[in-house]
Amino acid sequence: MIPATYIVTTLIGIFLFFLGKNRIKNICMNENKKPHSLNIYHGLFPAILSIVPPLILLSLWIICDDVIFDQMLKNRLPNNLIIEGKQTFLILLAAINNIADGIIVGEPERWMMDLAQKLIIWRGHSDSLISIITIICSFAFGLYALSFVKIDFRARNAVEKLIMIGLIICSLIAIITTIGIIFSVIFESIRFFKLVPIYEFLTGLTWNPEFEGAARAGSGQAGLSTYGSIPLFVGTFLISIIALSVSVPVGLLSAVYLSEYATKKIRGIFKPLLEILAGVPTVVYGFFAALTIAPFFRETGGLIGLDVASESALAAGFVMGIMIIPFVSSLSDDVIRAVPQSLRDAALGLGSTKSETIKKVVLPAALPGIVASIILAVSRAVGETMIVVMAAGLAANLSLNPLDAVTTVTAQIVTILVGDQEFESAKTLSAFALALTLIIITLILNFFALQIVKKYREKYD
Amino acid sequence: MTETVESIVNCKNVSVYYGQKKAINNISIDIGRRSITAFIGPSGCGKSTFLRTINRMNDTIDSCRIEGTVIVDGKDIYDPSIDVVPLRAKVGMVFQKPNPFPKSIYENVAYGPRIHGLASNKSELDDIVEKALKGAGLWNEARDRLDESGTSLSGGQQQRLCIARTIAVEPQIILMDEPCSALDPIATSNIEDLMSDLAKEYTIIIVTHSMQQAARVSQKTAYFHLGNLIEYGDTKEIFVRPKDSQTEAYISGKIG
Ligand SMILES: Nc1ncnc2c1ncn2[C@@H]1O[C@H](COP(=O)(O)OP(=O)(O)OP(=O)(O)O)[C@@H](O)[C@H]1O
Ligand SMILES: [Mg+2]
Repeated sequence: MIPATYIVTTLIGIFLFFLGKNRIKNICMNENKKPHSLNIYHGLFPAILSIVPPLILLSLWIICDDVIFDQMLKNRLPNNLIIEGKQTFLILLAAINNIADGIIVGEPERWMMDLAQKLIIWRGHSDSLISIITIICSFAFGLYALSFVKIDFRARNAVEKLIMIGLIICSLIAIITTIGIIFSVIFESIRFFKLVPIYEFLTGLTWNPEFEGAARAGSGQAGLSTYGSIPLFVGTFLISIIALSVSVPVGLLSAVYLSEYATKKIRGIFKPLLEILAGVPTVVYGFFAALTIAPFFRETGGLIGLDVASESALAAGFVMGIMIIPFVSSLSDDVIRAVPQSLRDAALGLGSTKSETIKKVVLPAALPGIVASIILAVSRAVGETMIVVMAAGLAANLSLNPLDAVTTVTAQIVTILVGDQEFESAKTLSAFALALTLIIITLILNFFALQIVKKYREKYD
Repeated sequence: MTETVESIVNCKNVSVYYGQKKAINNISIDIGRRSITAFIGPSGCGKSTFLRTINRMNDTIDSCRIEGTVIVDGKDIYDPSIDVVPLRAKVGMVFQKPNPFPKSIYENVAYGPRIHGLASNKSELDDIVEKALKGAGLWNEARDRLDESGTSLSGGQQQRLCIARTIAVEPQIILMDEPCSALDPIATSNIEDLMSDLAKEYTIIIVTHSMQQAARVSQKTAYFHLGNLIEYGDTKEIFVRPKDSQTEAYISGKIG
């Protein structure tokens, strides 16, 4: 029913397209004048109006009707049923929906089957209703739009306006989704901070959510589980620093080589290779770090008398650095190549050597872009999870020693949310608080980095 | 023609190729010291290419290949033993589009002296910068804003900054490739005056599309056509009594 409605609406639109086009053609022939807009726009205008708004309506309805059905089901649940908590109620509704979809597990109770039966009927009614409404709307809008088609109707401007509205809606979707995510993170975090004081979360030196239970949430008994996030942020900081100290120098220098020294042929080989490096899934880097690099570091450390943990910040940071190299080098390469040749000529014409030209003219001119590539590297490093989970361990040690096992914010979020969890518990909610703090920190970092870029940009171009 | 003036650049049978394509065809020319020589000719005839052989800027173009000998101040500059870095300090270049570095005015001028170690301390460097800016006629406009970015100047000021930057390393020869093509008549006349001043100390070779400019500033003019040097002689002679019919056609505006 619904797919047919989509098709019918589209057909109506196509039909109106030709209707509009022919109509303007006839008008022109009769009046012997030229229309304001090309014929095609006179066809597009009714076509767009008869397709797009009705289909949006249809899609919204399909998304929303479940909510209404749930409400209706709720009112019809047997009175003698005892429901504990929101969770069980949701499960009940899901079960009825499943039965209606034909997924029957075991031997459901009689009243559930009845409700499912009702649900199927409602769905049928709802589908017919919305299909009829959609098709009527499609005709109505289309014919209304068609009535505009006249010799001096500015159809092109109207179509352009419709397209612009479409573009605005698309960009709004991205923005609204982001805002939605941020708000949900904020609200969940607020719930967390009702259970655990924000002060403890931000300044506590121990992270140990494991012994969570009713104790903390209910009786207010502290001491069983602790939510001091400092070790996680220190771990993130430590691993990111190690990753950056690998990726920034290597990436930048390889960018200089690629853009200034390499011949076309070598560049043609190197650049795609680097980009392949960027395409390797992080989980592959992860086991590379855990199975190859970490043991190697431990053995080498052992040879020179250093005590390296089998899962170390150094191993994870090092591999993460390798992973980020292509981001730094590829972007820096682009900005270095974007420095105008005239600046290089000027420097060479004054008798600079090639390396002087690069150091004193090209790199300073490319600095804003280079900083941007480093910002990108930082956010990759801070957000990277898989490598840490696999290679740095999950122990929330508070340590700045790169040879220790540490963990990071993102890795901790993963461990919290993997497997079964109670949605209401402080442990689960702590993931949101961590995410929120991480978002804020990255925002601040980006802000300052942009400030730096701005300052240098004023100076350099 | 060249007997009266001592020559500083001697080119013999110079040909330049871009890949397979010949851009300069067997040109021989001698250029006098402390004078202004103008290269004229229709677009694409190889003026820039030839100019760039004199300080080996063509080395930066991979496909470019040069035959023949170019002698600057008694030395064959394409000899394998020659280092291009001091050569380019000796033969400076001003480009068609003003291309100041995105640094302060001071740093723009100080760049050359710094890399060549011409100043041993800050006050010497200050003196060099001041002298160069004065030489380029920019000192009065720039003295109070030495810390501002060179790119914040107007186009004509930028071009004079580029000239200041070039003369700060005290070259013997200054190559100018259409230095006024991006400038208005007033800025152009400023630069022309400047060139005449500079010619007391420096040898200037200028590529220009403006006949009037060539006639106004230069002592000698070379007319290029399709990679060939068609005519070379005293500017007055060339503009009044060109020997070659092609030169005459170009000067009178029939080709180019
Ligand atoms: N980098 C290059 N690669 C290949 N061919 C080039 C290159 N630069 C110049 N040429 C060719 O060499 C010839 C001479 O070019 P050149 O730039 O010297 O001309 P020009 O006389 O300076 O012209 P204009 O007055 O337009 O600046 C032209 O045919 C041009 O196409
Ligand atoms: Mg040219």
